[in-house]
Amino acid sequence: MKRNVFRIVLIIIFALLLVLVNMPYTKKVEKMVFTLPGLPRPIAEVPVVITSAGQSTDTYIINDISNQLMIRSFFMPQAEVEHMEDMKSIVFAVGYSSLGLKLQGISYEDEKTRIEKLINMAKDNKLTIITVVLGGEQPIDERNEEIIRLVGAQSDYIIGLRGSSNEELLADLAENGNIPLTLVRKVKDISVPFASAFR
Amino acid sequence: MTVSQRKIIENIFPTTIAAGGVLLIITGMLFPVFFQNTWFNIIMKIREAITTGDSGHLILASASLNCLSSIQSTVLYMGTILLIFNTELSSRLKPLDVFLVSLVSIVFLHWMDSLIFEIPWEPVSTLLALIISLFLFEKLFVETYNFVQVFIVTVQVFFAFQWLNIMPYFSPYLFGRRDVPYSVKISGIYLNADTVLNFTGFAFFIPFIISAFITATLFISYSRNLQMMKENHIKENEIRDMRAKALENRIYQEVKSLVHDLKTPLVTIRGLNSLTLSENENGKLAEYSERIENSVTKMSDMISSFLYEYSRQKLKASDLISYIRAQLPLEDEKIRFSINIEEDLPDIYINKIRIARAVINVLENAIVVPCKHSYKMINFDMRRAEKGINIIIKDNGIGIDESNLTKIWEIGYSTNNTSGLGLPFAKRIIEDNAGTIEVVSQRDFGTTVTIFLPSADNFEDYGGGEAIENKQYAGNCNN
Amino acid sequence: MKIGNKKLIILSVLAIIIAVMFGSLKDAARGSYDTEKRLIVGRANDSVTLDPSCTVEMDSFKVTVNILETLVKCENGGNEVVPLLAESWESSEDGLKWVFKLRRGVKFHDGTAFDADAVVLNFNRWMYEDNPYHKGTFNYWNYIFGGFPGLVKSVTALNNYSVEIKLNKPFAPFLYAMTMPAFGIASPEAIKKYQGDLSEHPVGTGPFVYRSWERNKSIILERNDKYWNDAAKVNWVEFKVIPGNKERLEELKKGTIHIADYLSPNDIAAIKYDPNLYLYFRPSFNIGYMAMNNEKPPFDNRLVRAAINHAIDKDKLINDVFDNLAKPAATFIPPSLWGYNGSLEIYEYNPEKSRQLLAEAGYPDGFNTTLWVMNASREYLPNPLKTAQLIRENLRKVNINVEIVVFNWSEYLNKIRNGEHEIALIGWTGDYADPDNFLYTMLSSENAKPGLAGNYSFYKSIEVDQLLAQARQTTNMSFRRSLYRRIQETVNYDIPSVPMVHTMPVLAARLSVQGYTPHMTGIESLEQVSLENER
Repeated sequence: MKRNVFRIVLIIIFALLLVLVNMPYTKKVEKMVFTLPGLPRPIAEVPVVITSAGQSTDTYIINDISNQLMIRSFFMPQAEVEHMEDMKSIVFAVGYSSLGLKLQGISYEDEKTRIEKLINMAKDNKLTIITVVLGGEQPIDERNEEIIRLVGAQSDYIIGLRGSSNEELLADLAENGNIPLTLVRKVKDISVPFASAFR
Repeated sequence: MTVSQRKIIENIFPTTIAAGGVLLIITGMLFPVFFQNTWFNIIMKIREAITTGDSGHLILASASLNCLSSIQSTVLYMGTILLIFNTELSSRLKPLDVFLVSLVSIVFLHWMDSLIFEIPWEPVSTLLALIISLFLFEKLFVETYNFVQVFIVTVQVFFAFQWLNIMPYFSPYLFGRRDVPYSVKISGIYLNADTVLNFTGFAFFIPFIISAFITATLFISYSRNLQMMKENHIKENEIRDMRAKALENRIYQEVKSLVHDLKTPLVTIRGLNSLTLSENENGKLAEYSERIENSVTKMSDMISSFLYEYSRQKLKASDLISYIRAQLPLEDEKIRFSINIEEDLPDIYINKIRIARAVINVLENAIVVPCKHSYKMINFDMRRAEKGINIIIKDNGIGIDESNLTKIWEIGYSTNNTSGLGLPFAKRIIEDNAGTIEVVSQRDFGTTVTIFLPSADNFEDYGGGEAIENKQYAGNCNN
Repeated sequence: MKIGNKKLIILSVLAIIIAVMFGSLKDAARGSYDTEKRLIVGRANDSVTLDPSCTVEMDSFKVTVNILETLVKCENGGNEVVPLLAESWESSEDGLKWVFKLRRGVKFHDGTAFDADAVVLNFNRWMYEDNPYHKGTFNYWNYIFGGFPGLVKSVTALNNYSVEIKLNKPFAPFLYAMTMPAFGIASPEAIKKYQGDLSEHPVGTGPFVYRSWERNKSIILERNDKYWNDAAKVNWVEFKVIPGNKERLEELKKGTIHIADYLSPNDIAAIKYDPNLYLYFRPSFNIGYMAMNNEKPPFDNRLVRAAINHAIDKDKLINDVFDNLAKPAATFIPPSLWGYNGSLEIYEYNPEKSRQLLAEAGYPDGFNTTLWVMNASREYLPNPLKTAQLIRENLRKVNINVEIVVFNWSEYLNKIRNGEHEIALIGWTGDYADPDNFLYTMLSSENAKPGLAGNYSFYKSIEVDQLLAQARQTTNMSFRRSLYRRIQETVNYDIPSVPMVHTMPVLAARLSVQGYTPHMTGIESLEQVSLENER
């Protein structure tokens, strides 16, 4: 009998641990995050390059949104610096996908290097950098966070999902860098702030 | 599955099965590598879905994803189960501990795999599926010991649970939080197809789970049925045998009583015959009467031997020989008989009349067998053997072909139009009396038949050497 | 398996499921509603009327949306139509017949039962000019349905809880139109009692009940405890009129009001760093423009209009007056709306060209005109006077002399509706995410009728009318999109007025205000708003 009780306790502890390991965030963001529903004035010009940071499938969604808005864009998920001639702005669709990287045959380090190079080039040539972060429910992935920090800190505008596990991180980046931040409730709502950056 | 079958698995095949288990585990771990292209295809389908706005591709992508994950999980699971249940562990630990060990090791394997190959696994759904699989496994394996059936049930459970991962409805409950399922969900939400995803998820989850349980139940009841059928079959056979035996016995009893009734007229014949003999002491009539007396005795003996089929007596070997010689006329000039009986042969414990019959059958065969020599020679030897005596009957007839040597024991087999019953009958009688009979033959050279009869010392309980007629009923008597 | 083990397995499965659910449970609802909560909204202007069917201006709607409810409402920022007083609806294939199934068990504030007859009475009051209760100008009806009854053929009660609306022609944004606060259903008893004049007697089914109105001071609403849905989270709502931006901000800082509407961009800096205040922005969904009365010369001359467009320095305007919280407008719908044509040729700021065009048009030395301005800040024009002054400067450079005339808001509206203006500053905030709402209202000849006009440019183009009509009738998105693109091109060529800015309206609220989500339409009902205890 004792042994049974002991086992039940073990199982419950095991279950709780599993849950804790998977919980993306333990406390809700208490303070109110300062966000805009969109940009009051456009900050980016066309043509714009839409590229991925982390090779997740979110890039395709951003591309589709941009196409629906009929914004003059070039979709290059693995854009390199040499593709950036004549471009006026760059949109990073941030999302780390190990499978995506594998598919493209890029290592994580290479991806980071590519992103850094693009950011530097953008800064040098005064391109507008817009970051869109769609990832939401996943537990906080180290690499995902790293990429968000890498790109977000240097952006001119950040768009994210409200209620996602990245919300706090994005809020911090926005506040520290004085970067305008928009958090939308649903993926489709990204349309409005995205458009507001261009027109 | 009887205890003996299980023993076979445990004793004879443990290494094979353990090796199989390891192989499965390795396959499971390497699964992402083998199916890398399919994984890539999933991403391309998601892209297609977004570009065309058609959420149908998402469903295809989910199906692909779920198949891959579930088969991988099932393979890992089967491997672990094979290992655990075929080693010492299963006998040393209690079932629950085995359960926990399986749980932990499978979770561990999945986690290792995801670390090494960076293709993520879903903790919550896999865990739930694992628990249910192990539960079903306990139920199923105990009954059927069939790994193929376990595999069929398990793959359904895993497949069902994987579908929960692509349902946006279950996102808050920690399902589908890794990379690929999450991409599917968010693309679905973007395309306003979250209801479709939810519905499809349910549409696969519910039937497959139900099916898994039903399959398990079916397998269990099937194996139970088979078991019952086997038992029934055996029982039926037993019953049939018993009935046949009962019938046989009944018939036998009837015949016995009939034969017993034959004795009465025999007594009359005997009595009147001795009267006749005493009236006519000389002349042909006396000879005839004596012969009638002999025949009556013979008949009486036969009746007795039939009635006392299973009765055996302690007998001198020489008595047997006398009895046989009395039965068999050996006057043929063309046959040279040579009879050699050893001295001091041990007593034998047999049914005299029947054994005599058997030996006579063999002798008759030797007598009628064709011979290429000018005269036939038949040797009749009786020698001491280990634990008994050997009766050796040798002839120089044309012999028996090697190919036919086994056929001679078959009922109805005859090379010269006899009934074909002699040798089989003889074999049966000799074996009933705990003896053996062997035939060695060479073409044109002759045939040697060796009969072994055990000595009386081998038998503890035996009746005295009373005259047969006075013997009471012995043997089976169904009252 | 032993029974003991079986129980164990079930227990462990349950344990895991419970743990999972427990882990994902959100925090329990915050706050407790103990003491009486009074939410005070400070705004620049008073409502003009409390009868939404007879007005178009936002300040009236902001109040009535709490009192009167429509059949359906817009959710998710103007995209999705969800049930409100109607539980469900169906339309026929050709879009000419709509049937609304009404919610049961709803009562008006005066106790009257809400049913199909009430709805029909309301509609008849709006639709028919000869209806005994048709008192006032039912602008919105005309804007949308183009006449009395216009597009709508008939409204009948099929049974107690079913209303059938028949249209003369298919109307793609019909359902959206039904979400307009102007079509809030009023109590039939009240309509009869007040002879159809409900400007001071709003009686509806909403979460708040009208209590009092002190003109130019405050309007007070009380919570409707018999509301058919979840009751509001505050007991009282007061709409206080504080015309000056500075004063409004002061009161907000002090805490005597909780929400301050219509703030000017200049106030943002002051608010951003105040720990007790929180800035809200409405998504940019409006157009502020300078309407030129196309029926009054010289504005009937296209070249003159083009010249004036080239004369306005929008960037400077945005910089000086709007504090960069606005973007220059190229056409009459905001860029965030679908169907926006981003490849229009813009009339860039070029005084030289302007003068050339004027010369071409026959005004080499310019001309005189009057520029009318309202004295109330609007969301699309937070600072109308300063805007007007800047425009005067711009126009002076091309020899157009402008006299600025200021009116108060309701008078202003009446006058420009009659077409009495030459140039007037005005604007439009979208009601729902459909270009028809902007373009039909501002550019169709139907809406250029004196007294009812929404087309303050009094622009009449047969081509545009036809395109607008066609776009209303089809539901195919890509077809509509292409039609609206063409309309924008045509209008851009004709350039009836000067589209100036799309603003991003600013509001501020104290941190104690929770659950407040400003809509892009500028109008939101307040039953979700709660007042937490100040920390």
